[in-house]
Amino acid sequence: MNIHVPKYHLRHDHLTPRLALAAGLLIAACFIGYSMYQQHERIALRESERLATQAKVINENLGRQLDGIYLALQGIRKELPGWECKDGTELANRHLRALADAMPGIRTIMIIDAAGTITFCNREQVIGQNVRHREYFQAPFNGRNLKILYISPPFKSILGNFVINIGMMIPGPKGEFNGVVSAALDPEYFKILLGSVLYAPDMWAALAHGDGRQFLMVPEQEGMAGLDLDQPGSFFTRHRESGLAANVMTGRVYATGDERMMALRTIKPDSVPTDKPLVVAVGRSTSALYADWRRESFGKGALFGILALALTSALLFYQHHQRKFETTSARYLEELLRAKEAAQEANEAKSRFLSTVAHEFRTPLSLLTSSTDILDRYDERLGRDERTQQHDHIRNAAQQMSGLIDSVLAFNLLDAHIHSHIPVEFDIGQFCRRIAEEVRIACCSNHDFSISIEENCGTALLDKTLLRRVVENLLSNAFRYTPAGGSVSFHVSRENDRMLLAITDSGIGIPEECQSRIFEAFFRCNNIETRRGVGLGLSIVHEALSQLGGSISFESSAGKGTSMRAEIPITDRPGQKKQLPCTQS
Amino acid sequence: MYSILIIEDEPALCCNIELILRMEGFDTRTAADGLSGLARISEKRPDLILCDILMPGMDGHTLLSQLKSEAELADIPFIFVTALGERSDVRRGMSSGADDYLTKPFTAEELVAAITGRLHRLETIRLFSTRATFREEHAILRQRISARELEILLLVGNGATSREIADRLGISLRTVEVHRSNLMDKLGAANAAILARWAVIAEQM
Repeated sequence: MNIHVPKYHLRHDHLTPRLALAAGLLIAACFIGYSMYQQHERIALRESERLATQAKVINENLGRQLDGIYLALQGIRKELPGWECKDGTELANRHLRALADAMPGIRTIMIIDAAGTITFCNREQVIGQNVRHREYFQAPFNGRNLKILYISPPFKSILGNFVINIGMMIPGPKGEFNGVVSAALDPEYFKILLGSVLYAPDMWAALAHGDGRQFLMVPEQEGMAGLDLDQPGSFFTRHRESGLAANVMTGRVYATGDERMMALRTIKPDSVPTDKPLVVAVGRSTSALYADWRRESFGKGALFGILALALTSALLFYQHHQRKFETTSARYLEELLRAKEAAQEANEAKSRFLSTVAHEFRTPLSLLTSSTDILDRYDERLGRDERTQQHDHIRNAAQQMSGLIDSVLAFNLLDAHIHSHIPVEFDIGQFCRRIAEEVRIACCSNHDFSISIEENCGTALLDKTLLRRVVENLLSNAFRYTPAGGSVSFHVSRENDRMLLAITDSGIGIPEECQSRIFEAFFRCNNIETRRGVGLGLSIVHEALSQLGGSISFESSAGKGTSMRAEIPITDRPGQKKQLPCTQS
Repeated sequence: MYSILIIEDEPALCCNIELILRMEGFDTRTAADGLSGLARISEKRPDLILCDILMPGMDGHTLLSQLKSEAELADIPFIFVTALGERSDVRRGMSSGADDYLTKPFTAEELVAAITGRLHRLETIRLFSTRATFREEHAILRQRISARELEILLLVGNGATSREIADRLGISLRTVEVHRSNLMDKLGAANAAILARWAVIAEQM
């Protein structure tokens, strides 16, 4: 039985949901990535603006500071001739002290003569020292410009810390170089100034001289003061090369090596002509700056990963179960279809059987009806023989119908295994001969019939009804399917504890395509459609032999005849029946 | 006397059909299968063929199709007599050109009515072709039979059974039987075949 289950009804497309999920996840990933990028850019923009503002604050403060120093140094320069008289030293020092105390960004103010010796100072301990070699002396000495405020590179002071000195040239009576008035900036004050703009723990601010030497850094770090920042790729160099007054840039810090966002600003107030500018830098560590963003990105990424994993697992799990469900459904459907087909086949067989049985009953019924009609209508005109013949017809018809009922009931009993097995001892030869004669007469045989029963058959302990079913059906089939004049032979023999029945005919034979099905109930091969029969004979034989523990085999070719050979285990004593397998050839 | 060929493989039933038709005044011949039936037909053309369907060798359908393929035999009235009672079997039989279909088991009366009906048509055609006048017969009919008997005679001629006539005329079966018996007596019809001929003549009145 071939069952074709339409697979496309059950098999779902598993690739499409996977592709859809992948596309959905990709879109979600793009959306999350883009939103995180936007957030990153917003942070960068906001922070650069803030850092630029802080740098600007320092710029404004330092500008004012330089402006104040410029004015103060100019004032000292004007007052200087009054101090160069007798007893002027004390006055000058006092005046300078008062001025240094009044200006919070100034630590030391000194007057240096043309030879480089400190003549007046708010710190009396340095008076008399020669600072000719110092940059803050050399710059005005070399520059000799009255209007320029000379800003010296940071240097390590006598006190051990780095300072920047701001000085102006003191002119002589003819405008020649006559010394320097110089103010040392107070690092502590600038530290406070720089520290005031820091709003995050990872920030630092630095102030450097225009030639690249770092003056100070807040918070302080070891070895940072005095460091030369004019290095290739450094923030300082990049800022200077940009030519702009203010920049915000990111990169690696030359001095510390860490990644930073830096706002740099060149301090060179318009009101104060200086020889060199100062450069202020305010920066934040990018790792700290983007720490929250990174945490959020990681969180969202992890959440997305978990979600993707969960969705993928759920889809795979669902598809796995879907496949299992489909397989199970397909199996159930197949079983259902098989059962339906089997039921249909059984139903069709039953219908065929009923139709065949009805057909078989119609012929004897016709005989019965016509004979009774003849007796009713033409009784007076019938001769004695004709009347007797009609009575015979009625009897025959009744016998035929009775035989049919017997066949159907016999099959039913055998098929349902409710036949009562009653072995009795009897003479095999005698029994077979009697049945053969009965069948021959019943079939109105006009065949060349021969029966041979070997002498050694003897007696056997068997169920006679079952044996009768076997012999009757095999013989009546041979007569029925052999044309008039053909030969039918019946041979009975015994080999030890086996009885052998061989029935050979020269009839129409069994076509090869039907040979595998001849023992099925109600099966009728296409070459006997026009011959009477219910299709139960051989199935009765098969079932009866099976219950006797026997077997049947046959050889047949269409148009030439059939030879049936049945073997039945027999015993002379009760309870010794042997079983043989039922085979076909 | 009409000649009927009976082709039936069941000898007892064949014998009974033959006896019934003989008793009804038909000339009958028999054959046990299609091939021998064809041989009988070629020996002498019958007026009607009664044929079983399921037979060894050549079956009824094959025989009928062979008859229909021969011009001089195609017009022989053909009635299938069979145990195949399925509607599809009847349809197949009728579509292959059978004139009627008798399903086993059937009564003698049904058999005779079916044959009478078919022969009546044949007789009508014959009478029209010979343009006979039947003045004497018409006079006999007018003198001897009543209007009701004439009605019954015409129905018998159309192949109706006694039961069908009783139903058609709204009278009892027994009354139909009495009228039928009277008709046979009055017209001197010894059997159904003669009565069928009288029916054809009555139709000419």
